[in-house]
Amino acid sequence: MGQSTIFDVISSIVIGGFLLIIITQMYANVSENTYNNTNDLIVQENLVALVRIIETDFRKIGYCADPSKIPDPSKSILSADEHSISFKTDVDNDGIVDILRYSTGLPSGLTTTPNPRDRLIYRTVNGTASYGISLGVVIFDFMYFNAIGDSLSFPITNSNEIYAMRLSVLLESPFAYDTTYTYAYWRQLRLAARNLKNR
Amino acid sequence: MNTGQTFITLGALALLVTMLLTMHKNFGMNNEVVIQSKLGVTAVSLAESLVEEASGKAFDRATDDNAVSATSSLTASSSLGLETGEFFPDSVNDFDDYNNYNQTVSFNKGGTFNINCKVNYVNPTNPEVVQSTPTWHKRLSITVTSNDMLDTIRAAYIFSYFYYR
Repeated sequence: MGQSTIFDVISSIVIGGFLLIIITQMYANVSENTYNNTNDLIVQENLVALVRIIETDFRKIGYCADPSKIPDPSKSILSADEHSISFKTDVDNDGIVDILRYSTGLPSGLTTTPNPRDRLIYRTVNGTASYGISLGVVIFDFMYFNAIGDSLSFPITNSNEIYAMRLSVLLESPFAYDTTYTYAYWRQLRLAARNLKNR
Repeated sequence: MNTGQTFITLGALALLVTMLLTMHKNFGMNNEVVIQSKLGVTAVSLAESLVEEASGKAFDRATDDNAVSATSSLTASSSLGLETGEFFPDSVNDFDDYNNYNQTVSFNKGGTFNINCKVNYVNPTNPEVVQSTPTWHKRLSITVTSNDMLDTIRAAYIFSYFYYR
C-alpha cells in the first residue's frame, strides 16, 4: 500500500468514527425527546383527568338533590387542612347526603415509582376505604379564604369560616429521563358554596 | 481519493447535516407545542378562577343589600366597574367591579400571565352583542395573555340576576 492509500484509509476511519459518534448522539437525542414528550403527554392527560374529577366534585360542595338535607351550604365543609378536605355533597344525585374526602398520602407511601416526590391521592366517599390513585401528584395544596378574602391559617378550627379555597396541583412524571421529571401545573380558586352568596 | 469520491463524500455529509438540522427543528417544534399546552392549562385555570371569584359577588351594587325589580335601578352600562373608594381585592363586592380589571400572575414553575376583564350587559337571545342599557344579564369576558404564549386564552361567563321571594 502506498502512502496515499494509507492516508485514505486513516481518513475514512476518522470520518467514519465521527459519523458513528454523530449517529449515536442523534439516537440518544431522539430517545430523550420521545421519552420526555411521551411523559409530558401522560402528565398533562393525568392532570386534565384529575382536574375534571375535582371540578365536578368541588362544584357540588353543599349541593343535595333534596335541598332540605343541607339547609345551610355554608356549613358543608366538615374539615380542612393543607392537603385534605372533607365536605358534604350529593355524589350520585340521589337526594342522600354523602361525605366526600380528598386527601394525599406521603411521598414515602409510594415506593413503586422512581420519583421521590410523587404521592397517592385518595378520594373517599362516606368513609369507604379507597385505593390510592397514582397520577404523579407532587403538590396538592389547599389555601382557604374567609368571606372578606383573608387567608385562613392552619390548623383551621372553624371550617364554617371557609368561603373560598385555592387548590394548587403539580403533577410530575413517575419516571425520569436521567433525573429530569416532566411536570404540569394547575391552580384554581373555588368557592366553597357557590350558590350561597348570589344575589 | 479522487475528486469524484471527494464530492460523493461531501454530498453524503451535506445530507447528514440536513437530516440532523431537520431533526432538531422538529424537536424544537415538538417542545414548543408541549410548552404551549402546559401554559394553556395554567391560563385556563386562571380564567376559571376569576369566573369563580366574580360569580360569588352580588350581581350589581344595587342588589348587594336589597332586591331590585326594574332594570332601571341597575348600574348604567357606562358606570360598570369599581365604585369610588373601592379597590381590589378587599372592597370588591359586585360582579361588574371586574370591568377593566387587570392582574399579572407569575408562577415559579414558569409563565407570567396577564389577565384582562370586561363586563357588559347582554341579552340572552344574543349574548355576543353588548347592550347599552341595563339588562338582567352581565357577561364577563376574560382574556389571558402571556409573553410566553403564542395564543390568547379567552373565556366568557354570563351572570344573571335572580331573587327568590
